[in-house]
Amino acid sequence: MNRVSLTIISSLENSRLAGLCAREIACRTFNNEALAEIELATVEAVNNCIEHACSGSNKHQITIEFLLSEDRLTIELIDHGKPIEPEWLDNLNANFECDDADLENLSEGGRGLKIVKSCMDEVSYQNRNEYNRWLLIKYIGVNTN
Amino acid sequence: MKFDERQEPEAMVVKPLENRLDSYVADEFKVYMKNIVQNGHLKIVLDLSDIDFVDSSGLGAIIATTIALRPQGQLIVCNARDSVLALFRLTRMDRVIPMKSDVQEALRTMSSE
Repeated sequence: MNRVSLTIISSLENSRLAGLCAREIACRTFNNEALAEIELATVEAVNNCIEHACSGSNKHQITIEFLLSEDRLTIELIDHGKPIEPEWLDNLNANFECDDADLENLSEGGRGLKIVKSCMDEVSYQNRNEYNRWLLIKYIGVNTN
Repeated sequence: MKFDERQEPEAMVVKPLENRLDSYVADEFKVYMKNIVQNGHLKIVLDLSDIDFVDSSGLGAIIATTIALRPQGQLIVCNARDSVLALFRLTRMDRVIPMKSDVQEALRTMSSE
């Protein structure tokens, strides 16, 4: 079992660090496609914490714990920012929609959490009094696509 | 963020000289591309050969460029690596933004339209 804990300042530059750390921890266990999904999901989840829970401020800390066990990689993110709005959680299960005939109304954003959900096998969110907790799980040897 | 750009007869070819197009550089990318559009370049080939990671913010910046070019102009993406291509497919943006395998194919497509 491998457990790594990383605490970062809530700066977008550090999302890269979290993503690369996830990839490195998972690199001997997952194939390239899964590694890309794990890195992307981690970056998107950290971006979400920074941009929404921390309102883009770099004065917060985010703790990310990576736990590689026999059958899964678990990534836990904890921030002490504001809780996520319920309608954002609806985004988790929404489909990617696009209408190529209606480009002007195509949104630039709003895909981050959907990407997290699509790239991982399980995604959950809890708001406790003092903190937000995201849990991302990727099972070893399971093709999510 | 650094870029290489060159004007071809069919289009302006823009190549980001970075390996990540993510939330940290997305705004800078968007401003750079917007300036190119405002300078009258309405046909742009975006060469992603150096990019090995794009997140939703980077994708959003590419979408913003596509929108800025409408209705007269066009953006074609080329040389996307597998992980980048996977993001476009996952989000279905490959249906909205034309993607070609290399710069020459992108330029041929541009000249035929």
